[in-house]
Amino acid sequence: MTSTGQDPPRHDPLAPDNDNEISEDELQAYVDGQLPTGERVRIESYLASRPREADRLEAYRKQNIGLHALFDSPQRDDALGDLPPDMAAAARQLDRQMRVSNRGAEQFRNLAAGIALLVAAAGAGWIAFDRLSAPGDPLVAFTRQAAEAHARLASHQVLGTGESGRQVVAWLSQQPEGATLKVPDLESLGFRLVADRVMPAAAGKRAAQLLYQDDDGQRITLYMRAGYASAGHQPVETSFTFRREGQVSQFFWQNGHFAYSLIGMMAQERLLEIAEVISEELQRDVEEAGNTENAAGERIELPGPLILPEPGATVEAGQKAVAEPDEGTTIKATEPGSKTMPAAPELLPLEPLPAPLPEPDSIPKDT
Amino acid sequence: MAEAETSVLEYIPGLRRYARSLAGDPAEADDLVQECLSRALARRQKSADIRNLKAYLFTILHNAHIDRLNERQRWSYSIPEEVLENRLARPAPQPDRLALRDLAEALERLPEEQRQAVLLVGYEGLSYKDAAAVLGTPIGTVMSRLSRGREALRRLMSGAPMANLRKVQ
Repeated sequence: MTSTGQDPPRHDPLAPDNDNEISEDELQAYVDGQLPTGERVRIESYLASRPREADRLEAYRKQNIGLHALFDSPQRDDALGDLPPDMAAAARQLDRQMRVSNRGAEQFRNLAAGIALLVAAAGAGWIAFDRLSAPGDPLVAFTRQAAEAHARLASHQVLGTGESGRQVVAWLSQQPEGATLKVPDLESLGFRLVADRVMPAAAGKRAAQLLYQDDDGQRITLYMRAGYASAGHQPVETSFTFRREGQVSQFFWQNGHFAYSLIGMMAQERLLEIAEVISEELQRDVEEAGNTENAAGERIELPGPLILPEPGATVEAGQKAVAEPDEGTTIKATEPGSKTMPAAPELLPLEPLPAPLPEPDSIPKDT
Repeated sequence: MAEAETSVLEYIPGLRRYARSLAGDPAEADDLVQECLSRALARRQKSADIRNLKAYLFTILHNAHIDRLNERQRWSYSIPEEVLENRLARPAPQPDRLALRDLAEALERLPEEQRQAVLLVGYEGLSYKDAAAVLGTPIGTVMSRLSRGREALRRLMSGAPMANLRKVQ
């Protein structure tokens, strides 16, 4: 389309040989109504003195009309109700899948809002400033802790055991307010829980870390911290905030009294999808728990053995790193919280991994 | 995306139309649309990363079509007679039956690349830029295929010789 100056010059045998200004591309654009109004007038005056050219273009326009007569469906535009059910279902699924990120992108743009929220959280003593190289940015604090935790665990050889999740479930059961008692099941995404641990975090709190792995060895960490809103704040729900550092993608969000961070070396879109599943799972579990136990706080009174973090129980080669505060930081290992913990609730049975997710091997090559 | 949220559902009729014009056969066309949606799902793209949802979906549809052509080695484009009859039986206003039949036949004889360009631009009303994105070619190539395709159609329909029309890549 030379009229917009986007095209490299080329030789076109169909181009009228006697025009000094009007190119074949412009004539095509005239047929297709893709010309700016001003150009239209110019071409019409050009055609006025060239009846053969005008006829040719008129024939092209009739082709367009004919194509519609040939291929348009009898009912002008297919009503949605006419869609084959499979097609409608796939379209809706695709819509949902793509919409997810609109929210994500929006959150990303509103990163500032997320930071403001975390500043409030930090004000409540939830986040340790002293760990930070950038003490003014609590978002960095939380996400960095989570990223470090991921890095420590994700690089180690890990043996999956049938008991995966026990520590974290025990820890979750300690959390008084609206905590889920299950660890998120990501089998549907091809990720299996391979390791978990509870570790000291800032301000006398503890954090839980869950390590998942898929068949390709790809690992993701879900890092959870509780305790926010215990000082008279209302539980908060935020949507996902994305950060990226090098190869590592990270989503942060908060729901109720928990803050979550999901980390993995993968594309933002893929990780967000996982984050959504986790968020939904957690939410559903909390709702289910709420139905059976009206006051979550009562659970604390249940007698049960204290379950301490067991370094090495699930982490084969990472023992020295497990449950150890970082050297060079001012974090102190914290006391375990309650001495009256309930027995570990039943874990979701870990079923055999489903078939790997379909790889997009049919990706069009040229998009 | 800058514009308000668009829905895949909005583009389904257009995709089905284009698939019908690409494949000729309506059943095959819907199959193609279904495959397009499956492929789009497998790609797990998010709308924030898609500049133009319409062009995006058409591209996937287009590639699914091309892959089928490649699988079949030999394939000739044709609009089934019953489909054509169905069209021709429709009430006016429409171009006269003869011209329409000529157009259908001419379209069948067009090289695939030219047919695609003519259909995407002339029928689907895609901008040249979007058509180029769908076809995976520079705009100049689209323009050249479009121009040749239209002229070929015109000549075929008027019974003129095709001597100086050549296939362009």
